[in-house]
Amino acid sequence: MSRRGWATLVLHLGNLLPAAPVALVGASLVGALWGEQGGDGVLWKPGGAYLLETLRLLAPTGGALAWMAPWYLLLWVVTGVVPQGLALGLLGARADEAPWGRGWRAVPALVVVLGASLLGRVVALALCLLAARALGASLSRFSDPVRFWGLAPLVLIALGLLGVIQALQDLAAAAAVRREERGPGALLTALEVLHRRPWAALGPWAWRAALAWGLLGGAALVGELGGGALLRQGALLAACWLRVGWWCRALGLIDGAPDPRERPPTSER
Amino acid sequence: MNLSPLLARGLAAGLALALLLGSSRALAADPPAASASAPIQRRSPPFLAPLPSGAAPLPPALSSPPPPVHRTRLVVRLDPVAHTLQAQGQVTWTNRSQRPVHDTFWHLYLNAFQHPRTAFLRSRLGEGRGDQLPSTWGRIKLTRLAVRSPDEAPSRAVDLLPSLAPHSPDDPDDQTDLRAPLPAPCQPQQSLVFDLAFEASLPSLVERTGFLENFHMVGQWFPKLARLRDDGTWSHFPFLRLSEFDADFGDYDITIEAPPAYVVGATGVRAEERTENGVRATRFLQEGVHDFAWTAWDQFLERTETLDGVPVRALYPRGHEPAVRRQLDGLRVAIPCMRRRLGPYPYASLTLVQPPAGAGEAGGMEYPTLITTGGPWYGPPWLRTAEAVAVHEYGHQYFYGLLASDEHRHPFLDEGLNTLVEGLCLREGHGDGSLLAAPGLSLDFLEAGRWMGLGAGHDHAIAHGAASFPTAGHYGRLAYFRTATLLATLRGAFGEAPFDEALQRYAQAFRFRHPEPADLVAALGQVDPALAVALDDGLSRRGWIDFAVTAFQPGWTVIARRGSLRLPVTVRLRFVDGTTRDERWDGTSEWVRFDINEPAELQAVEVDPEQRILLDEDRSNNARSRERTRVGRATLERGLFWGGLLGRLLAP
Repeated sequence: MSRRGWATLVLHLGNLLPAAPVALVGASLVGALWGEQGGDGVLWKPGGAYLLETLRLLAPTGGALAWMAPWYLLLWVVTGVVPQGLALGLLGARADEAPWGRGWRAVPALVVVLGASLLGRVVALALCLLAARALGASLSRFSDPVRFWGLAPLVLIALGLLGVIQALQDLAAAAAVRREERGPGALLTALEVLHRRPWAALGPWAWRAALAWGLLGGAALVGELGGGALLRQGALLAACWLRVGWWCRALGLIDGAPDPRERPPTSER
Repeated sequence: MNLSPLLARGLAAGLALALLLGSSRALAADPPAASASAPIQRRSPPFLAPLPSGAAPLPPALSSPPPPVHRTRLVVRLDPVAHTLQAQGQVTWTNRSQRPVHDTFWHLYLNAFQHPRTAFLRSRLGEGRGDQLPSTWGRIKLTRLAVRSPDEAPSRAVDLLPSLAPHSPDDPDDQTDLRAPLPAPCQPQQSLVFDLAFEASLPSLVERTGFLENFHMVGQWFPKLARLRDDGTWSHFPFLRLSEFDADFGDYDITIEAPPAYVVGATGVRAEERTENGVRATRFLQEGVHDFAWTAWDQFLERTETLDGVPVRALYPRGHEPAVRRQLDGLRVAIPCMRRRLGPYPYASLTLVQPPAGAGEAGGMEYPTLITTGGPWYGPPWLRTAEAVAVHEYGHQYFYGLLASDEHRHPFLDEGLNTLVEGLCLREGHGDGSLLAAPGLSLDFLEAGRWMGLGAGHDHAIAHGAASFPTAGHYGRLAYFRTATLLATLRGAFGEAPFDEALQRYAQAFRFRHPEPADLVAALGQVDPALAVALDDGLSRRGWIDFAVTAFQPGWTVIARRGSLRLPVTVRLRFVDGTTRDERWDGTSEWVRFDINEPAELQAVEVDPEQRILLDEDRSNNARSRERTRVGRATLERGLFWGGLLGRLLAP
């Protein structure tokens, strides 16, 4: 298997690993409830009698565990840098070096990049919400649908901002792995790449992200009608493949960017 | 009143979790070889004398309204800037009871919003609407209340204002329930004329009534006589937070004056409209109803349709066409469905009001021939809350409107029965997806309501007065959903067709009357005396039930009936050769044992395989099998997918 294939597998497993304990506990609880009635196929019977009963009976358990959900999600986010680092390490390692080492070494920088990215997202969303409030107030004399559609461009702007931040984060992660830069340096490199070649960076990210989310959304909906498991798991894998493809591109963009450490001093120009 | 938002919120939380989780041979004995035979002592329902062995007599059905108890004629002028009303007119009232009447009781319910110490505003209970104090107080003040004989001139009327006094012993500050002694007793069938005039200020919108900018929803707005029962006692009570209403049938002739730019909708048929001196007067007439409400707004759009012979006028804000279209779709299902189940809608108009954004307190409410809906202008097409609100409020034209039970003392009689019929009609129109129909997932309205109904069943009995529920949540879960779940259970256990016929007989016999719980128990008890016992137990004694397979071996199995309700149920036995056999157990004993003497051994057993016993507290113990699945594989796979999706969203 190619390095890209291995990287896809690492990313895919990295995504599934934190989900596995939750899914397994859920599946075991459902098995305990309906194991004597043919298993969890009954959950999806028309009318939802068993599904609603499951939710009703498990609601106290879910409520008792709810307090840990935010912490678990935080852990999920932070530990996500490990498969990211390993996958990028596989893609970015030179031919003469071990594929894992580079990725491991980049993990601290990736955590910094992730923190900056999350901060950027919070700021972007807060700005969009403030703008929505102001715009909503100015549209108050219009009917409800006009107000709604008047705010729609802001949703697109917010999605666009989140996309740019995600692309920037990936470029910085690529710099952290390929050039073994620390977090701030990787972020500066990513900004420089985005500044010099914005469309070359955002275009490949955007179409892959759109395709991946289209696949995932489609699998979520169509999967309920038939062939579900294959479709859903296939879509997850395909989304990882697309993401890894973008990372390959990001590594190329990083390679094409001037390395500040190799840049000659200004006085010698 | 409508609780769909409560149901929808609960459902939304549940669905979030749902996404994460992703035949027979001969028996040893038929009937079963051995069953518990502890003697069962049956109790009689407290609502009525012991049930007759045959059919209980029901009153003859009325095809048209009986002679009115009152004729109310008012002219009211709305000042839409000051949000005030000025009105005058007469109420011609007849003592239809068997006893002389010495005093009258008047409900001045707008006074519930005149200061924070009223009985209504002091009892903010949480978990429901009406919990906000109004930003503008509301009040009503009688400027004239005088009584005379119909043949006397108004100038000879006796002024009742000096003797008019609040009558809320526990709430000295409350002026919503007032007593006015009569100068002389009013004999049975004698009529009196009350001349009245009043001024009212509408509150900012709070629980059904008030204003929001130029939008006015005007309910409980006039001095209204309480209902005189047949025994000569008055059904009178202050306006309370959870309580709705109880009133006599009468004829209304109301003229509403408002600026010409205002579109007015009201109870009854628009009989006349004229504009003079910059004021448009619209006259509404309606016979055979027990309340009158109206709305006025200068932004209303209007759409009219005739649905199953009923002229429907929809008033709604600009942009809300999609929501109103879906509400009319709901009525398109509900009107014929309820005609078949409960009898024809007898009035010549139905007005549907969709309040504007921010006026949710005015929504989800029923008045005779006028209903208010609610919700946003948009909504996912797979969720039927917009339709459900319209169906529910239309159902109140029967349970509350035509079958005018006392909503204060017996809220389950209107809300519970209406929620059941709402669910049945939604099911009739939309099948298994009567609440939600998404790809691969359908949810039934009554099944979802069951969740709510089971939530408070051990806390409190259903059969309580509205004011005695501890919270609005208890009121909603018990009066609406547990009642509907109980009735749906009895329908499933004792047979859908006989239950539906009995309900139809009840609806027709008590049309234009004031049924009591005993009347419902007697009517439904005609299906089976055991149904009446179970209904009574479920309503007044927190009756509950849980069928469970408590023992299972290849040659025998034991089914237990936990709880106090005794209901017949189907037990499905599946054998190793693939055959199945359904056994009917009457559920009167505490347990039943099935012994299998044939060569084919039991493979599995399931109680209530068609989920007819909605009140069953725990369906997960309803089956046992020789094969057991330990892990739900589909749930595991779905969990991994949605977890992977979340990871894609969250992870760097």
